[in-house]
Amino acid sequence: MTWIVLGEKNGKIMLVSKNNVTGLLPKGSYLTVEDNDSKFILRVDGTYQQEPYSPSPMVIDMDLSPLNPDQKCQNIITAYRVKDISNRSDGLIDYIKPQLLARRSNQEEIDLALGATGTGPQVFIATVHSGQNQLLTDDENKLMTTRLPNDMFFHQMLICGKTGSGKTVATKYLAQYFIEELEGAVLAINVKDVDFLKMDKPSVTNSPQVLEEWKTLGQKASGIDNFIVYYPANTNIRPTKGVTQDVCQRITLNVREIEPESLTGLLQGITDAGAQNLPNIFRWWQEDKIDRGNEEDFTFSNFVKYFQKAQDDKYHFRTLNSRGDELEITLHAGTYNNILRNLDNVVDFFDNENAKSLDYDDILQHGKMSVIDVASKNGVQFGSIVLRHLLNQIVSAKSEQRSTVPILIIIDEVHQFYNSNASNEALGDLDTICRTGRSQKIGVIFSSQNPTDIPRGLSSVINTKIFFKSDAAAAKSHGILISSDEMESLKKGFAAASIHELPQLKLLKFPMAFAGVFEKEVK
Amino acid sequence: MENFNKLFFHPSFNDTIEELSRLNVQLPPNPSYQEMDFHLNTYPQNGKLISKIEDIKSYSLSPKKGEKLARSNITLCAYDESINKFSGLEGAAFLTSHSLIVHHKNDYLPLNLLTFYFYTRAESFSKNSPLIKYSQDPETDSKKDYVNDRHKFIVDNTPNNSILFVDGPLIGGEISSYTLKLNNELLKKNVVPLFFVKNSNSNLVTDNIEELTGNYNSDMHWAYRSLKTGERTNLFKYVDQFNERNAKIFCYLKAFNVSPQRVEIHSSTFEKHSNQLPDLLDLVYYLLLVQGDLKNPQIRSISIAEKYARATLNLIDIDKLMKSSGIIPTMNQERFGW
Repeated sequence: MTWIVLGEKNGKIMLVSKNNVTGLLPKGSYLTVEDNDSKFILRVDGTYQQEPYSPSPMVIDMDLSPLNPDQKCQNIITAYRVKDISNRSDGLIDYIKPQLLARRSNQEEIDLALGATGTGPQVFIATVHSGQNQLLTDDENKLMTTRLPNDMFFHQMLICGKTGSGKTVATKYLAQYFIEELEGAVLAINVKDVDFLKMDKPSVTNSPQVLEEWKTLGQKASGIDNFIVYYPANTNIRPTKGVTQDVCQRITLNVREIEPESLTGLLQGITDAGAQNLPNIFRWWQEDKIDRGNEEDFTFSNFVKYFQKAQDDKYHFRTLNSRGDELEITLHAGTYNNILRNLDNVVDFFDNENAKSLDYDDILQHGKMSVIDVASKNGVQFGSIVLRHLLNQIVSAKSEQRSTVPILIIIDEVHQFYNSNASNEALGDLDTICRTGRSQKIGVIFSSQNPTDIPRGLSSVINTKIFFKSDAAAAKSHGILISSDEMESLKKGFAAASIHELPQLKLLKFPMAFAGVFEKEVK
Repeated sequence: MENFNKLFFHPSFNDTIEELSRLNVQLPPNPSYQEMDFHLNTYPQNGKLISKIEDIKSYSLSPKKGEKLARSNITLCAYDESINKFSGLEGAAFLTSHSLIVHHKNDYLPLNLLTFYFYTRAESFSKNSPLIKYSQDPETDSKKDYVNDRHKFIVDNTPNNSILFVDGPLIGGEISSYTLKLNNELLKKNVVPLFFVKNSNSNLVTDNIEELTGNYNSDMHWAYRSLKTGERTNLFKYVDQFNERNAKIFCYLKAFNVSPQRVEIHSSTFEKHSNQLPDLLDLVYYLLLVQGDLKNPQIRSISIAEKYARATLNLIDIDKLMKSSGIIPTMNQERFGW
């Protein structure tokens, strides 16, 4: 298949197809133009058909059939020049001369054009035209792939898409790559159903397309070996959900270890000023218990009882702030009752017997995927406290060089997780992590149906944005140029993207994850 | 069809340009489109009309029959040309693209020949080079070269057993012999050549039929008045009074409610293919409908040949090729570029 360069117009190269081209080359495809020792790689930005003989409609109107040659169509293409391969050294840029011939680029040329590195998760390059998504192929119909840069993980990622658009499957694929190829650790927060709870199991599919894609990548279904699901000790993960019970572990919050600031995550329907009192009250109580060495009384239930007794003391408390200053405060009765109600609701999360209290070294292990299941009642509050607690520990461990294990933190369905004061606080901590993640090898993936769910401060430090089928206007606000029609037509797994250090990749398709995805999910 | 999809240059094309450059001749940058005008070269010269071939009346054309023929295995070809004339002080250059197309399965296959000639009345100028043509009458001499090239190009390249549509009339006058030769050689290849004339002021019919004389400005005027759309006149025969071998058969055909066209064939073609002629005229009507141009009715095939002729002509930038020469453009060309 060959196209002929017509010239340049408005900064784009225009081409027309030769006779041997029988269809439209879709947007997102790559063309290579050769001129002696120079090569130019172009990315197709516009494509349409032209009828060179523009037959009269009169014959059809008169119920006559047209001449076959009059139905000839040509493919007119406008394309961006994305890569020049030239020996030129005089400071000028080569012309792409009219009448030069172009052909579909091969894998090597596409790699050059994209500037893809030799390592990173492989994805398929995709095209779109008139509501049709296709995978890019070369002249031998071989699927064209590229690798997302590994560095992308540590410059934070946003994955958006409507339910069923493929964002969770893509996130699983990236998580598995991070574990198996980068030998990092993954910490995922599961907020919905059993999305992330079966990553120990190989994916199941009979889809010929998926199998063909895996074959192209030289991969097959495989579960993650080192996988564990942590869930609040006061809840159950029912076996009927198909979750392997052996990989599930109950966890609890430990009143001895809990960071006092984390407790604000428990409070709902209370003013910020009122909420700020709880950590200092708790810190005084915690320190007091440690000083007294009274292990038996050192439970969260006892803290709640201690808090209740303040009714007799006109809501008067002794406090200890993070600098170590001891002070005294009197809570307003309304604030007091509100805090008490909240504390009473979450007593179940603390100090459960036969449950583990998570520490950073449970998470920071090479090749381990940890999932905290917060899909249960009040789970988001629990999760937010655990996450915040862990994030503080992980950042400390990394900054003090107690661990060099790269970690990827996945916040799935951010809109659900963010829908409380508790998680709001946790996300505030993530902001700090996002800004220092690169140096400490901490990556965060935010997954959401709507990019506006991401706090404004966070969105400015996210360098990779992947939009599955979602709102085109929202994608545009994140610098992804895609029309509403094209966005609406994105099939499952196809996405428009702005990838860190891979600016030329605009449309891609994620392979189905090798673990944790089952037939019904890939229909 | 392996000869098609090509653009040929006349063997003297490059040499002529080089020669002009060597002689420091400069041609103006903006040529004018030139139509070869053969209205004074009616074929045959000194003819008379014999109208006994068919009854004088209108005949309905069937586009359905034409469609069927077009979609049969018959090979359809068409010829047209496009000419650029460059008028300079030292002489005039003619850049011509001869274009032949064939209806192939799913495409039109083109074949083009580019020629380039320079004519001058300055004898001393032409003595310096055989490629600079001395001419007292460049218009006439350029026509001769054009007809010669055209005839050779058509005969050499038209596929055997085909129908050939040629834009322009059977040419008479001094160059009648070319016409005869062209026709005979095409008939040897079992090619049926049909010639198409638009915008003619000739009075072959109205001057020779008593009841029409004086009532119409031209044959076209008469045909337009007497025909409905989708009709043709009867066939007329126009014969050289001194040599009956020089004769043509023609009729007028009205596809749309605009000026009709004349379709003519040589009498020897008629002798060989008269039984096909009614079907071929239906085909012509169908091809006029396919083109569907009400402002400039033209059969589809010739229109495509014309497109290729113009496109290939535009490939050549004579001004650029001649940039080192020193001919002085005439005033009009400098001012208006025509």
